[in-house]
Amino acid sequence: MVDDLIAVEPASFLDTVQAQIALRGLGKAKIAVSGGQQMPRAIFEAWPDVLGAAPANADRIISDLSRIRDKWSLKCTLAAVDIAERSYDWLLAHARPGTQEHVLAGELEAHIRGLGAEDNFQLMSASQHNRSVHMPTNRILQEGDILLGEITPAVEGEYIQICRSAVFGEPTALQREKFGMLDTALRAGMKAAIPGTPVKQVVEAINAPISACGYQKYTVPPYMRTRGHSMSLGSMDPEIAGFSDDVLAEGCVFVMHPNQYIPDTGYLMCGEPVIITPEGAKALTSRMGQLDTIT
Amino acid sequence: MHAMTPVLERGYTFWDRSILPPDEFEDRTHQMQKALREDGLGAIVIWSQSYHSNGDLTYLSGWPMGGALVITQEGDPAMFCVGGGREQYFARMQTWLGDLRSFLSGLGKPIQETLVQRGVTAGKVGLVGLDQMPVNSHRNLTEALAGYELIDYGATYQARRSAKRPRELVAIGNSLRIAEAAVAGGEAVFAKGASNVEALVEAERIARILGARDFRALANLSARGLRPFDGLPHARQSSLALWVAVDQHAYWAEAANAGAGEMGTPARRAVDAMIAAATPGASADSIARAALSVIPPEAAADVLSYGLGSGIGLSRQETPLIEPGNDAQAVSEGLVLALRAYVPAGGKHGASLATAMVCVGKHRSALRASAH
Repeated sequence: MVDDLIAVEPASFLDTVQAQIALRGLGKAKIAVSGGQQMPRAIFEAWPDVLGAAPANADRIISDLSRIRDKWSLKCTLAAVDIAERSYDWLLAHARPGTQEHVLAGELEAHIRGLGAEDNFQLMSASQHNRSVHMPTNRILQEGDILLGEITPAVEGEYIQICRSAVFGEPTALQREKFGMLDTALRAGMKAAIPGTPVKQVVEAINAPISACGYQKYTVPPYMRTRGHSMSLGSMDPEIAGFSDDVLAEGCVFVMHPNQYIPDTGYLMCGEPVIITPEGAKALTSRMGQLDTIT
Repeated sequence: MHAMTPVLERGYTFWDRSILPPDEFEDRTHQMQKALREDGLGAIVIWSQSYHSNGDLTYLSGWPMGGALVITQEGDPAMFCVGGGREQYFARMQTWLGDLRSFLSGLGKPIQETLVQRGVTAGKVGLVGLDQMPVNSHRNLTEALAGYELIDYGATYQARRSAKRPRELVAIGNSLRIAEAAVAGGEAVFAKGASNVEALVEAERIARILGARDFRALANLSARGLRPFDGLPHARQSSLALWVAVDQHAYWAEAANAGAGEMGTPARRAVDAMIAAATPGASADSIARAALSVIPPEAAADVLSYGLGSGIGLSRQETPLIEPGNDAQAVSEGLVLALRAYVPAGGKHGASLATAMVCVGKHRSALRASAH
């Protein structure tokens, strides 16, 4: 999409930017920088010298523009959702006890590439009692394991994420009950997530059914991380967390996930990519996650 | 190489104690503590990004991701993991360190408290990796450590770990074995009629199932130049040039498919010339010029745009960077170099791509893949 692309070694980055600004006659223009909080300090602190003055902060300009999907980016988002769902179906069909975690994860990565995703951030692990989801290890998958998968393919830079749980064998009644609790929490969060709603209220809506089951203590770290987040091109807003001051806007896309540790069953994952509509958050997937069985 | 797949590092993550046992990290720590005493530092604080570690933190902790590490003159280091503690259970499986803490925000206070607990209440504290820290985090840390004389220790620290230890060479050799298997697998499916992009995907598949933590690749997906994977489909080209870099245990290695850089091709000549020039004390400039002296002059700009290589280890690109004009950096005994050349087609020669991993020393030789 950008024709004027200049590749440089890191050491030449600032000098190149300075030269290009001069080349374009922008030496005296007011310039803003986006992403300042994420960039290395050495670069952030060099901007006043490079630009001749301290730059304005353009974080919100970029983030606010990009968090609402336009027609093209929504098309890419939906393509990524389709890849994620098809990949998960492939995983259910191919995962077998006796395979090492990283071998299954590697085969899935290649499958996702084969479906056309240019990138994928993936966590996958399994245990009889998971403390969290993490990078795959050499652990051999076992009958009765709960397999956790966070699949995050990207199409044209638009990432989406699904969070899934599956049992090697028939899930126990207890596992079904606790997964059902998280599913209820997710649906409560989706119902609450209408335009204009503070993110904190969505977090409360998600936590309420979990707390009602006696797990309030577990609705905070280290038993969970966050109730959702964006990963769109150019914006990480909104973060669905209690500390966030974000307010939901129509057209926002993010993953909502009440993933967390439950002492009775271990960590479970249950998360959907959603879009905010006047009726609440609508799942972009064709089928919401359930506690699947791998046979 | 000038273009990399924009991936976050992820994949096989497992601490193999048979390759890097706890005493390896204990000895590294003791060596670094000796350096602290020699340099008059009470402690060093090492910081690394979560998903793009440059190896500074990993070298002493074994943990391949980010966080912070505090090393004092005595005792084991203390490690701080990013996040609210959910990841600690996993991190504990991957490091020899017992003092493992987590932080959500504001690293300054817990680090300052750790220094005081360990009796470091004033004096010099070395900082490593803080240039890569986000500005707010950096401010929080340096304000908390305002009572100390803060020294930029990054270059000294990296110089002290630049020569590779025997177990590191085995770890790099393991990664090289994976990289070589990956390009061979890509070449094999290409020989059976697969497209270049399908060959790249096959290389990634093989690398990951063999235990690559991360994977980077470039291939001639179109008629000219090397590109990262950018989706499907791409037309099959008449030949395959496939470059792969992988890491395992955070140790990187790279390889190219043999068919792209056979004997006598410009790329192979360039890499062989660099191997011959890479003697202890040789400048990065002299090694680069050795490569340029044997390739067609009109190809030089293209060759340099892809790069000629660098040091390699816990980071895919360590010093020295092999490029003309780089007189400031030289190779030294024990370094491992990843040398490469991609020469596009032109005139009488077709496109060629060649790589070599070299351990610099009196008995300089191409690094071999570790036995499996």
